[in-house]
Amino acid sequence: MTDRSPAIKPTGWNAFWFAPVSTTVLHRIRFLTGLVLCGWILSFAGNQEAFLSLDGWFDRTAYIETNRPADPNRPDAPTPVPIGWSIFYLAGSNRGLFDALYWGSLAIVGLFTLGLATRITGILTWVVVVSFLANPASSYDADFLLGILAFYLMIGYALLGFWNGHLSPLEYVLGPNDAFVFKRWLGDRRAGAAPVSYSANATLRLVQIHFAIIVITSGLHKLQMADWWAGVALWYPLHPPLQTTADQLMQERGTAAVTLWFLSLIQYIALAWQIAFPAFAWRGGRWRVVLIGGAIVGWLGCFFVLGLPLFGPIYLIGCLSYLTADEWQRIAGWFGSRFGMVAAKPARAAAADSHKIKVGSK
Amino acid sequence: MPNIALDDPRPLPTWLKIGVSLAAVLHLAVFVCMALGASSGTAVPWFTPMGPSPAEGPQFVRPITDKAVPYYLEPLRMTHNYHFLTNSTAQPSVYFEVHLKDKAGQRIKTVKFPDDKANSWVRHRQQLLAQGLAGDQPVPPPQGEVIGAPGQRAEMQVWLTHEEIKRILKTEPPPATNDNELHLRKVAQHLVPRERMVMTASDWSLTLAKAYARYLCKLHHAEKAEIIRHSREPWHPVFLLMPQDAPIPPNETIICNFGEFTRD
Repeated sequence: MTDRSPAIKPTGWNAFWFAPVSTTVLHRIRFLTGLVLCGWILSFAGNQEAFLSLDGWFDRTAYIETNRPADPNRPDAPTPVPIGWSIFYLAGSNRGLFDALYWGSLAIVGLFTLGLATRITGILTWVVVVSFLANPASSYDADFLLGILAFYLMIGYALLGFWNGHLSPLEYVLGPNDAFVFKRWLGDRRAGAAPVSYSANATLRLVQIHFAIIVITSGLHKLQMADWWAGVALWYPLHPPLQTTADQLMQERGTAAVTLWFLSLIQYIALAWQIAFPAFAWRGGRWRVVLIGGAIVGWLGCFFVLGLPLFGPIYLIGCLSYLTADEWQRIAGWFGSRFGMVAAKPARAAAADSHKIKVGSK
Repeated sequence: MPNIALDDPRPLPTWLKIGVSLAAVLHLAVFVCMALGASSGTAVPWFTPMGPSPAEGPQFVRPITDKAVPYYLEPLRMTHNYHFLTNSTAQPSVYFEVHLKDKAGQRIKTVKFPDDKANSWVRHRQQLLAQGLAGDQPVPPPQGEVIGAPGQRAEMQVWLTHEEIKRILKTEPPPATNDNELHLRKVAQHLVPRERMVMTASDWSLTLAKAYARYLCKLHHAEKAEIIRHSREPWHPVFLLMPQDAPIPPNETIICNFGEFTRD
């Protein structure tokens, strides 16, 4: 064991950004993000050419039209959605190559999810995600959040383990072996002992701050709309215009006051959660219930009320990135005791987590 | 084999900490500026003396976003400003039909989007496409007489009713399928009807409509595709708070015919 007695406890800015933390959290965020990415890519299957190719919904001519600046006085003004390169453009009209690129993309993201060759597959995963975002015909808000997660994970895994200098030559190229999801099952002697890393901390901090910016901006944006102030914003998706009739509305009048009271209360709680997000996201203890509970309730609401399938999982992953290795360990233990799973061995690095670690000379 | 688990990382040198700190602060500051610099009132325009209008973001972030967007954020595909369109929940319901026609103009097939038979993921994407066609914009009332360039008429494309096509364009409108049907037509600016709020299709919805028409023509070996959008504005909850027997005004489906687009 390394002697840590002469260590100096980092504080403030140093502790926030430059304390090495267990790689456990980064690996779990990667795994969850990878699962969402795999599901997202598979959702295009069967229609991938229509969605993604230059002969699809949004064809070459449309790209050329869209890339013309909307405002001739500001030729560098951004287009309404990010449009640019995509690996799928390499295929042109070659359907076989296009399909190979599509299924190859899924394989790359699958490898990254499993933690294989993460230094390489992390970069390729970002390339894949960005390529999927190139078609603006059907891209929606949540798609772009996936690009953010993929970007930070790429940075994190590109740098992971370099500073420690204790990797094998192969690991320097492909990334540390400990990222592999099934490493424990292969009987590796290192299983359970998670290394600590500066890059894991910096990556998670970037994810956390960026996610907080997103949450609070979205919350403040809602306050620009009268329906959110009036507390009726959630009423609309529950009454889709083409399915709702005047008779139905007249029948609802009897219970309207109660319905609107509850909807407005729920909506204001959701707004408060978003706008106050930075105030509780980094707090431990019972605030974790607010953080994770809010994300889970938000997921259910996004899916069942707003009909948005992707926001929920991404918000939950964003919120889970704030948990420390200790907290992840407790969650794993809780699941283990409830469902008879074998909880992971306590990671040594759990003790070395963010604010508790002593960094110093060996 | 070396074991990274059993060794603490070496301490980071100060120069590296300063470099990483600067990079992180600058990187994140760009996103704060993007969020601050977003236009407001795009979903529901602000009321201004010039009529309903969106508002630009503050000027102090403009120099940063103007440089960061093309040189930093666009290559990273991170130009979203987190003012999510889905935050505006009072959206019209939209679907559209495409009549595919052969060379002679005979209808060979009609397809509907979102397709009721598609799986929920595909239907969700089709719904997004349909919503993209719904981004109509109000035509501001004229502030004065617009004089076109020599030899040119100042024209704009607006949604016109059958009666307006007859009255303003002096042409016979296509056969009506519904009383609420509107057609996208170019008219001289001074002839744009002023007695009602006149709307026009956004450039974006036209680009989408044309692109999708081309795609469907190729897919179904058709020559032309006529795109017809069906939309209904959201009901307002104020109807719930009216007296029990107060009637609710009808909320008709508006049918907007984008016209015919060719496959090339």
